[in-house]
Amino acid sequence: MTLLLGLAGLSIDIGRMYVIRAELQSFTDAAALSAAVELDGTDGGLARARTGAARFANGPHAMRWDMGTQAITNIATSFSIDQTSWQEKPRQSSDCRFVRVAASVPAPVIFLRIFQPLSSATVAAASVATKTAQSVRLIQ
Amino acid sequence: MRRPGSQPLAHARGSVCARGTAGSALIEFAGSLILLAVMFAGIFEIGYSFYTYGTLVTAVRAGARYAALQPRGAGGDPAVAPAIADAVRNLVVYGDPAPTDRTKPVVPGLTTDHVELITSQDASTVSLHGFEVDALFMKVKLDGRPTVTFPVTAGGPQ
Repeated sequence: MTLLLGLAGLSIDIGRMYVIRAELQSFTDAAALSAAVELDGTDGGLARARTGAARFANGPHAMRWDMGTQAITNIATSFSIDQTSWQEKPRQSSDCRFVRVAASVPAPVIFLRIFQPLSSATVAAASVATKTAQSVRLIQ
Repeated sequence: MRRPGSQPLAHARGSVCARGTAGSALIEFAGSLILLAVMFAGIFEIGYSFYTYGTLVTAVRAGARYAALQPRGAGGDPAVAPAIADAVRNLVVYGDPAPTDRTKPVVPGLTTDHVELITSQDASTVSLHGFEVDALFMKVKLDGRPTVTFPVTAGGPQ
């Protein structure tokens, strides 16, 4: 009986995490595109990209998590020249063509506490977008 | 002589005892069955709500992305053409901008009236309004969620 309840509870906790992940992935996709639009090879472009990444987490049409109830606050934007090393504040802004937006939230857990003394588990999603001469595209 | 005399007594005792055990087992079974049924129904409800919400997030995301790629009206008008707005709603509800089969929405009960599309010059927002996820015993009312906004990225398809 305990085992049955534990398993059922696990599926609820994990199901909830998958929903949260889907919400975060939608957000990071939009945020990465929004940031990539601003990339123009200048420091000002990088600053606008950071603002652009966060703009869909605020305002009247903000994207949210936990079935659309919680605001997304932990957003990390990093840039890259070649997609191998990522820097939040790159020194050579002129060559940065890739932008990566990652968002993570502490997903509350109810039943997983049976196995681990934790009250939340980190759920994260990330997207990479690039700007080329012709278009702005999502890569991952 | 002892055996035949004691047999009926032993038999009677045994049958009373067996009948009593059978009754309490039945009551226990019925009690636990009700408890189990309620628990499984609850688990099903929550699981189904999560599953449905996940499907809706994906559908709304697809609609917002599609809308962001469509041309806006001429002269700074942020609205898209009515036909495009209909295509966005169809994409959210049926998974296809021009559906041939309008009987199977991605989630039962979802109609194009539930889908709200807001477009501006630089973004498209799709959200659901007034839709209720019909789980077994409860209804989860979704007003304004899920909401997904996608930026307009100038320069052709992505």
